[in-house]
Amino acid sequence: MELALIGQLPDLVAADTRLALGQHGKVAQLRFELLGRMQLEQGRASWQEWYVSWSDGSFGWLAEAQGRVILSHRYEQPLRVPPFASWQAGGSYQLPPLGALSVEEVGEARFVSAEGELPFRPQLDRTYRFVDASLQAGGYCTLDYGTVGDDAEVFMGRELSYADAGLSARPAPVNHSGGKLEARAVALDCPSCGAPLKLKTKDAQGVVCPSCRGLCDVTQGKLALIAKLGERTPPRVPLGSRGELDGEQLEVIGFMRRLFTYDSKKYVWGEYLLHGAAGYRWLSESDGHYCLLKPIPAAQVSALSRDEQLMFNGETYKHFQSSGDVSSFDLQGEFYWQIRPEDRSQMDDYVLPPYIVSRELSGKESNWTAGRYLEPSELWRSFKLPGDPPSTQGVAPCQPNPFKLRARSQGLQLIYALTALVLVGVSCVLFLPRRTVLSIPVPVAGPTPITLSDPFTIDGSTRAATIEAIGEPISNAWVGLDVALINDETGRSDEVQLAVSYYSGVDDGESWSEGSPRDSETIGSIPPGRYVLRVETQTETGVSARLPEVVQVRVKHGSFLWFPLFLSLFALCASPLYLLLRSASFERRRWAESDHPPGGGSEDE
Amino acid sequence: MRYSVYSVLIVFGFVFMEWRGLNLLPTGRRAVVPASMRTSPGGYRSYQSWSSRGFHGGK
Repeated sequence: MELALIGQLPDLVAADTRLALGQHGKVAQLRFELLGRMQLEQGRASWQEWYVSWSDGSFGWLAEAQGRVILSHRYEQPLRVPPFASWQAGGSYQLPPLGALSVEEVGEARFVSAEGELPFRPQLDRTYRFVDASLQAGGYCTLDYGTVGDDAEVFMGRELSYADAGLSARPAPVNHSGGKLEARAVALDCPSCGAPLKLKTKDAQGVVCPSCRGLCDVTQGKLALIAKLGERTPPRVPLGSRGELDGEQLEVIGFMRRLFTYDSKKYVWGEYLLHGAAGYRWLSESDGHYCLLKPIPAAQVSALSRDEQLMFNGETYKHFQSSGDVSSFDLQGEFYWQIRPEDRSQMDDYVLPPYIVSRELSGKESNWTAGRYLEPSELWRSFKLPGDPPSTQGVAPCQPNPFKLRARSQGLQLIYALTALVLVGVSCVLFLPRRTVLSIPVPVAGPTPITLSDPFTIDGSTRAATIEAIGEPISNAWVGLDVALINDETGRSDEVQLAVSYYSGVDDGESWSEGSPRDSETIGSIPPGRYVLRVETQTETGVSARLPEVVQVRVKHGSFLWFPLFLSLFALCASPLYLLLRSASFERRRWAESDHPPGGGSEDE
Repeated sequence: MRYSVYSVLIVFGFVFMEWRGLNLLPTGRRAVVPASMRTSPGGYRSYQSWSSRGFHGGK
């Protein structure tokens, strides 16, 4: 086999890769080797694709960008693909037999440089149109439409970590020796002021000079001034801060403020770009609240009813807010795309506190991120930031509701406690001793209104006693009884009033009745001893009155008390109820800032 | 955890109140009849309890 020189390609651009020609990997018992490498760029970002030879004799591609590795192979079955112009970023499509797919990007890539062995003759600056999509069944597909026409080659791929692809031989762009990061910086001079700029990552595409605020594109390893930006406001988490979040060593490399105006009201929040061994992460900051986000494939998210809910990781997320025409300002640090102040995007947030799923739709690109609420104290501790985090304001969209968890926990314990209380109450009724210690007839119309019982004894322990009066038959009359239960030994007198009465009649053709021939009162803490009962009666009769000759008065010792039961019920329920109210108030405050405020329709309506 | 302990205390408190017959609701009046009245014949009969402000009618 003879080789012929057909031309020269420009040098490879410095890129954030940890792969090299000739490197081997292994996936599911199949080994592969990196034969060649292409560098491509698309508008504001660049990536590289490695030509791969598999041990079973087949060939494929390995795409590497922003710390992500996607291994792909050509789909050999015939497939009818829609025309290129019909694809839209963010859209969902059916492509039999591949199934449902979500388009992440529709774009045009430009060939920048290459090295090694490739299956075609590389042509500098040749462009091809592509559609990147993620499949709901898992994995990715790329449709390569070439330069013209609507025929496409289809490549199926799946995302792997470097380790899963057996590609951990070379060091990552950052390493973790002693828990500290070692940045592999690239030094360039600012084309505006000449100040040296050290890029933290090799695939940085946009950088802002901290000296002159010049926004520069990184092209072919050089800086090109794009615009001069205004004064910067230092972010709360300084650029260059390093820390560990969710087990990843991360460094803050970029920051920007985002602006969304709705109904003349401006909403501003901050977004930090973090970089680590696993790629890029986002840290959003709003009113002192923080969320840590990482990119996810669009197909992992499926929309539910009327776009107000979506499914991610088997969980349902509720739509919180959509913000159109979001702009960026106060850019600082570096970015993996060529960022512009005039860029606009639309953002949609879905929440399942403490988690959040967010979509940013800009031009021909749709990016999904998923993350969680990050306690400011955790961020401050992890990044060793000085002082205390600033106090938070309001409730963040994915801020966990501290009252909800406690209310749920206490609700479960409340069920146990109520069950115990009922069982104990029934046991008290069934097993605590209770007996009638006195029953005497009290004459109503006797010569004297006062009746004294003979002394009687109450045994056992101190318990409640109920004094009950029954006066039957009685009609249109009342009998009042002043009852004193007197301890004959100590002189302690517990006095209650009882009344038996019954009235009835007919008014305007309707019969009525009121009163009862029975009445009772319970006195607490009656100790054992010798007692007498003094009853003084009063009565009044009318023309049609009918009075009983006697009112039977009984004293029962060992009565069940209802008030302690109600008091205990209240005491048990008070805390869970309080937490429920606080939880509801917390949720009201959360959703008041959303597109779905409580008690009202959507703000879009 | 704290609520569990609190719940146990409440249930035990309920048992104690039932066991000792502690009625926390005031249902009447508590007084002490002087010993002189208790020891004198017919003393209880002349003891003024509710008579000055007793029940004065149901209708």
